[in-house]
Amino acid sequence: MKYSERIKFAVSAAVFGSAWGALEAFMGSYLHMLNIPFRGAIMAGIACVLMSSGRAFAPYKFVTLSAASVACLIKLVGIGAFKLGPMAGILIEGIIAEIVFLLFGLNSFSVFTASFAVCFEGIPHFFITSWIMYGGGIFETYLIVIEKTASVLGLPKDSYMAVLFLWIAGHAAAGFFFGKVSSASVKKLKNEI
Amino acid sequence: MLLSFFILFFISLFFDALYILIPISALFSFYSFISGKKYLLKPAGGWKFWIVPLIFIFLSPFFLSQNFSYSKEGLLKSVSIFFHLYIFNFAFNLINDSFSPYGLYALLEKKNMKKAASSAFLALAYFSRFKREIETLNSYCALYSGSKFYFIKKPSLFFYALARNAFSAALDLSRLLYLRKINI
Repeated sequence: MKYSERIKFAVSAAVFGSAWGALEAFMGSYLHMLNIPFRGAIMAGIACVLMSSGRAFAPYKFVTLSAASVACLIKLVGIGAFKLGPMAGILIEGIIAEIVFLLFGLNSFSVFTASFAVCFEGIPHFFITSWIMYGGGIFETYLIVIEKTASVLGLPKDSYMAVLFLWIAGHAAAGFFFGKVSSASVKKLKNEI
Repeated sequence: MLLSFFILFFISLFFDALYILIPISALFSFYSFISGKKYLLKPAGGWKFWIVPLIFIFLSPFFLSQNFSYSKEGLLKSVSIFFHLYIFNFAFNLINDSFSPYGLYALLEKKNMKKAASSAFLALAYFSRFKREIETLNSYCALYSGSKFYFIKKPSLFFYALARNAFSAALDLSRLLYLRKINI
């Protein structure tokens, strides 16, 4: 790597990772405290805008993953008590985006795909976090509680599928919105260089 | 010591049996008292965070039975969930108290990972600037639109402004490092 490329790599990871981590540390903590729905997808989408911009600034391999590592470091020292889950989420989002950019390069399609894929990270994240916090037995408990609630309310047993569908659709909508924002941002930023 | 605790925590993820969870919890509690680090047992996130999970654990024996009567099977399940939470809480506090930014920077320097240490230093330096940039952005939005929540009406513009500020800061920093011939 040339000297100028090394500088751009380090600065991109530092600046965009720091911005991401700062947003996660402050905005992410407030959203979690207020229990805003789809807060994971919202934070993932914002992260993708920054990751795509960082990639546009320094289009080198593993720069997105480095930015994710820096964001983890910043999140660790930020406010809020629960950092383990968000930190794991940040790293996984970085890995997903890095894989997409390595496969497809940097273009409108890859930026949109990366944002869309990253916003879906919240779905397995919920199941893995529940497993880690409460153990594997919690899912059986959840299903029993849902079935009992459905029978009390007079709803069919598989009514939870509608809720699951809405949950997944919400993540897809967030992914679509942030995909458009990321693509437009990267296009504008490239024109401004 | 840290590694052995994480191995025990990792093992606990795969078992719901109380004869595994209770000894692990007892070992963690014993360590907290012996080492004088009783703060490791404090509820992470404060009591308010744990009220809902504790109510759920308390009511589970009733929810898990046929006719909402008290069931022993439900009680065993909810006790298992409680011990999982207890172990997770301990592991969480241990991580929170074991790492600090300066300790991490010192470790990176000790291991001769200068590139990683430089990135970490630059990141922490930009962090405080970014906080000020968000405040300035918010003030301009409020001044321009007359509303403090302009970015909620036009979120795409807000996110683009954040990305653009970070981009221009990265350009300035790269030029400065290149002109000063800083070794990264």
